[in-house]
Amino acid sequence: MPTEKAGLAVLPAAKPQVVARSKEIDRLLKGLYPAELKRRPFCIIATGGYGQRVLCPYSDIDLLFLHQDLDEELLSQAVQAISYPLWDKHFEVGYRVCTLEEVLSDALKDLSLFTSLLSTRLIAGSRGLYRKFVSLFEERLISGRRKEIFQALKEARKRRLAQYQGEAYLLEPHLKEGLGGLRDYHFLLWVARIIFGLYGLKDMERAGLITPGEKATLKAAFNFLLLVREELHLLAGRKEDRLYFEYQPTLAVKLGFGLEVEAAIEKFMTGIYRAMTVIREGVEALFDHVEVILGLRPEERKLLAPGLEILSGRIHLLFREQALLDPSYLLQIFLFQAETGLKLHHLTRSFLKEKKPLKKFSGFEGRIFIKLLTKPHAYLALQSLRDTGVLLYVLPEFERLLGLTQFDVYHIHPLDEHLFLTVAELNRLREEEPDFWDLIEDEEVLFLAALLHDITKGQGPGHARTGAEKAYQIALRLGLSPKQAEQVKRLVAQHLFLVETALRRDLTEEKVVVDFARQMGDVGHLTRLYYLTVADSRATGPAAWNEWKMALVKELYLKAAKLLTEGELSQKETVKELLQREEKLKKDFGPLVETLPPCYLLHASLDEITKELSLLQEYKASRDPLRLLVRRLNGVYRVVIITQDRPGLFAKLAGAFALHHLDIRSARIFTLTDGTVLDVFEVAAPYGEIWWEEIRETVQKVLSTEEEEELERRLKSLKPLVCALKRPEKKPEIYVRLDNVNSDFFTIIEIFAPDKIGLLYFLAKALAKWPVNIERAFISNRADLASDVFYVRTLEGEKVPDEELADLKTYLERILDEICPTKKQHNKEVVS
Amino acid sequence: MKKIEAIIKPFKLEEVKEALAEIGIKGMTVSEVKGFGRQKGHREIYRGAEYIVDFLPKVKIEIVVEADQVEKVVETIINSARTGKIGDGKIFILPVEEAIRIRTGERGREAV
Repeated sequence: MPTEKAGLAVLPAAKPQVVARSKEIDRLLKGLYPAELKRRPFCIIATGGYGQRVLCPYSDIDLLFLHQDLDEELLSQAVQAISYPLWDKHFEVGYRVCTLEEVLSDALKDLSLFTSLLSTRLIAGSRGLYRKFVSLFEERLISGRRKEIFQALKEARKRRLAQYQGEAYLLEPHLKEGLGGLRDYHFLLWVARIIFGLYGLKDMERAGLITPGEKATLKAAFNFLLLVREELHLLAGRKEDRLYFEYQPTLAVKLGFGLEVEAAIEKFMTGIYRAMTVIREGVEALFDHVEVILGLRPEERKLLAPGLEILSGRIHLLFREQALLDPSYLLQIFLFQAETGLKLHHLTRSFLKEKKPLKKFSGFEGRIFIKLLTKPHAYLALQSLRDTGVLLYVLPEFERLLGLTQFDVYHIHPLDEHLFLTVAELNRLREEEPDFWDLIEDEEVLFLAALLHDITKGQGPGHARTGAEKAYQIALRLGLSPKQAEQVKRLVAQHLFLVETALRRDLTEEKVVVDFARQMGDVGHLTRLYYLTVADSRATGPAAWNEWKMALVKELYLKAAKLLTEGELSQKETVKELLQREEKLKKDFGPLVETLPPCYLLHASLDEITKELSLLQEYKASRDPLRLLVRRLNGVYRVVIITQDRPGLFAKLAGAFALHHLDIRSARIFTLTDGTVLDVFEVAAPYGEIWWEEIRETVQKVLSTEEEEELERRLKSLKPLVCALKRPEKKPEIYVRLDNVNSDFFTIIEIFAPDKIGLLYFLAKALAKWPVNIERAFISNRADLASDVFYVRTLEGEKVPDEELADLKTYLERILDEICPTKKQHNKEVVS
Repeated sequence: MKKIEAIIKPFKLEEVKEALAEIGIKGMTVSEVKGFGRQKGHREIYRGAEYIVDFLPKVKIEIVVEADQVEKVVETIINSARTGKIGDGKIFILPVEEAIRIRTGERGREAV
């Protein structure tokens, strides 16, 4: 499929300058040729870049002075006469003076000398000598050594890239030595020359080694890089081949990429990346092809599927016509790649690069494409899809993204590469962090979102939002169900949300985590977002990701996952319900809803909550110190008390109920942001009837006037009701258990003790004194024993520090001893 | 000249940075660090597996100022970094012998 890599053809080129420069040197050298050496066995040969007529302003001028048995004196005079004037003109001249035998034997040992001799031109002097050199060079250094040279070149390229391929070189590429740089282009030509005896792209095209389209893009890419190198030399005032940040703005504007600097840089660097990608793909495909030809790959053939085989370790397409007519057959190739990790066969690659599919892609083929994303070698398949141009038939949206630069130091990869790498990282995470992978539910949704998450980046602000819409459309087009497409959309919309919350919010705040979990809705989406977040960050670059960030992201993930699977939001549909309630209540009660603590909206039915909020509104409107609401529900009474928070409030309320022989079954304490408290008690009455007016009075009295001593005196003198009399306990069991592990936001205190009037009051009072706030209490009475569970936090809203737990336990045990003086049997358990 | 080193909670960085900018602090060095003090690491148990964080993520801010500015800076950091909870961090103040701007070779006050 023709790779008119968007815009590459229109990039400016430097051919005229560099050629003119080498012509000027040619003229100069011809003029400098010493008269006394005319018709003598001596010649000036241009080698290396100068040999190719490619000279940038500060390029070295590489010369070979070839002679045959000339007198030393004469030679050195001649060389001086030629090179000194060049030096005077500030040219960097590198030369070698040798005989035919010398140069040939040196080149046999020195690869860089050898490659510089691959492109030579006679500038002046003995033509006969030059011809002799050319034919001997071919005969002795190339014939019979093709395989050996190829291996040496391959090794040399590997060594060079090891040095110039680091992450720093992605942002500040090396135009000459970098991956896909000018040197790579020369490697491409050298290999074609050595292995196939072809000189230049035109020959290669004729021989079918590259397609006409490829030839055009390669040439454009090379000429563009050359122009940039030319300008870079002029700008730096020296032989500088690395495109450092400092040079990028000036060059971008100068080369006509726009006047607004940042936008110009992005366009300019996009051009650079596209050019370097073209060269890289070209050289790598050729190397791969040569390996097959030289028999460096096993020869076996193996049928993969009808019309697809493995040939010499490469995937080879058999039915060419069908590939153009049948998009699903075409995509099968890449699916096999993603599964096997094998490259495309050269013939298959060239064919696909050159031809256009005749049929449009449908949702059915889209599903094959999405499926390949989830396979282990998806990254390779995506690279091949991009290289052959097939990608743009499946996802035309990627045309804009090819090589697109993101102008910041975080994103070291062009956008298309970043998206591919995100998919690759997901594949790695599946192996490296399998713990939660099973919670993902739908891999296809996750992988497609990974590929599309930045799809609208660079098109104005809010790319998560605009990208989400686009991703939704693409997902539908590729054949996902509306529900799946919706999930992809949510992932793209929120792809920065997890990391931003983790880094910018206080994760020890229950509200932060509850709100976050609520926005996630379910653990499937949360888990997909978690993996997407990690993959995206790892694919961005080293500055964007480290253990430090991972610790925060994981903390938020785990806390939210627990809420959604084990905690308050774990029931199915809970989150949906919560959101519906919130919306509805906001209509009726407005900003009041914002002041409520997390999870308040879930503690009872909507009906109850509406009543409570009405009461709350009344309380706020009036100046009353207290509001009380009682309802009978399923055999127990539900008592709602609204008042101003104060120390020991819960204890006093518990005491007031105890005075009326009411059994507290459970209690929830909700503290609003303005310091109002809404307590909800479930109480049982021994005879089923309650005189609420009396209780209201007691509560009012206890809260407003009554001294603690008075309340305690009354509690202690209170006799159990007849019906509540219990058999004397045989073996009273008392224990206190503290737990800092099972809740992320509370210390859980569990107390098991003989049921006794006022027990809850005394415990609550003791806890208030420590001091901790009781936020939830669950009380159950079993026969003659009470088990009280308190969820507490320090006054600052944290769990009790681990090192305080043992003291708190001892303290509570002492209190229990005072309340129920029995032989104790303390359980020594502290969970921290 | 003094160097002020503050260890703060990560999510407080923006707030602290803005507060410091407001009182005219023009430069600072920020690093992502890990450690523990009174606030120990934490354990998360999820689906039976345990995830332990021994060293908590924190942010370290380093600022060099004239001695007479120290109080103001410290106060600003405290006000903007405080949550009242454990683990809010610490501030250290160290003497600085000399400051030199590499580009120009300027020393002392000008170099800061």
